[in-house]
Amino acid sequence: MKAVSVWRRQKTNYQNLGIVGKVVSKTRIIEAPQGFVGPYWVVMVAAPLRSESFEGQERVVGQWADVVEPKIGMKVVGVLRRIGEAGSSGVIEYGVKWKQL
Amino acid sequence: MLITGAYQTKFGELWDKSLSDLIFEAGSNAMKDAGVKPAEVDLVLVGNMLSGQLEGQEHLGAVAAEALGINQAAAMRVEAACASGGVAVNQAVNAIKAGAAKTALVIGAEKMTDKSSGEVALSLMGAASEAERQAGLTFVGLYGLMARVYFDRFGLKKDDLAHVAVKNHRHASLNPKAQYPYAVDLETVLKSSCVASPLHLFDCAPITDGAAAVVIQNRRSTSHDQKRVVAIAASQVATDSVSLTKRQSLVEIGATKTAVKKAYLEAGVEASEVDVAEVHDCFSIAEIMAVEDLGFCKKGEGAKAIKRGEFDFGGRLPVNLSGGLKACGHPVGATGVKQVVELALQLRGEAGERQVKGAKVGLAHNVGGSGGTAVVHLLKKI
Repeated sequence: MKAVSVWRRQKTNYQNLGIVGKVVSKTRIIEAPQGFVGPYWVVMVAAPLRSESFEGQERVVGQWADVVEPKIGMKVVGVLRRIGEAGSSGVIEYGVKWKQL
Repeated sequence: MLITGAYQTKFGELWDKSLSDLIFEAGSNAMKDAGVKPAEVDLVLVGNMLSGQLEGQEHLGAVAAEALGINQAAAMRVEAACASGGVAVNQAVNAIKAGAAKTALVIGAEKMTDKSSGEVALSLMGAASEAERQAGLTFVGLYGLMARVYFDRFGLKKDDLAHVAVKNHRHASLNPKAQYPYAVDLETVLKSSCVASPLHLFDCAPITDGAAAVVIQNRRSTSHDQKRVVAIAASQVATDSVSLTKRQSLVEIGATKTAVKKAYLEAGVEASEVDVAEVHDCFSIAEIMAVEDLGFCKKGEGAKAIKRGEFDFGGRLPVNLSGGLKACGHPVGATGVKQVVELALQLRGEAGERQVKGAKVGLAHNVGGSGGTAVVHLLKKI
């Protein structure tokens, strides 16, 4: 990925940093797509984010970044983590993953 | 609106066939079946999702026209992820209704097995949102997220999914064109390895090469034998958010409910009148949600109804007699057209060992992405 694409995505990559929510669903990816190495957990989190029109709650998806297994209903917080490998541009992409609060 | 010709290639890992070979086989045989010459075709639509990424071919309409010797017709590719084939059929119907075409050849085709499963999984994720791709999700993972919520809501367990694969493999054993034309037992399904929890290998449709084609004509332009002609009574497409996170409900596909409601209205048909159906079982949880969303049973009762055999060959409403995506195979852009071909064979009484006696109304249900697009066709015997 070109450096400019990583730069542009920064606008959205960090917007859930520090947000507190709860796990509403989860899946453990064993067979990962190219560019990822499984197994890893991906969680769907319901959290009060930006929109006021969605009754204060939105859902987001992100990778799990904790040693404990995610559970449905668990309170979680968005933390800064590396989310991609350095491509041909050499730029490492950072974003938000989730861990237990 | 009539289907006058229909054909499906063998589905599977077809090492000796290129994408162009598959398009030629399906298209030429559908025209032959319809008794239509290439010069009579004035519209060629190719349902395909991945030819650009997997084959390096982005001009598929013209490639198909060249392969089939159709030189004067408008020809183009139609893309709507795994619903590309269904949407291509819908666009042909609309073009004929609008008077822009009289004889349309719709081909669904995909060549997937030349690439590794990781490359294909990444390419398929082109049908998902950017956030879902960044999270390292796959489509198995997206449906796994839905399955988890469905399990909690309706008290289902992983083992309850297994009857979908057993049923569809049993049906595929009656279909020589299926990728996996053999039955599997419950134990084999339950013992298969996990791909993305809670979904295991036998909960997932495979990676497949294959093509299917139909010739669609209006009533005025056809002189075909009426006994081998099937009517398209309804053709409807609906959309929902591409992002799973933005859906109103995670235990149903909203686009399916919208499309089927419009289709039943257009055809003047109720769910109880459907005799045979091909539904989008890309994953076992998808078939469970589909039979509910299409009105074949109540929400939350799909898995029990499948386990009771209500949707088996010989049951009250046979579902996925082709073997479905799970066992017939899922060459993504071809699937929506293959479903229509299977129903055309059923309504013509030409489905061989898996023929439903006296079938008069068939329903095809094709989904793109995790539910961003849904297509429903209702076909009637004339």
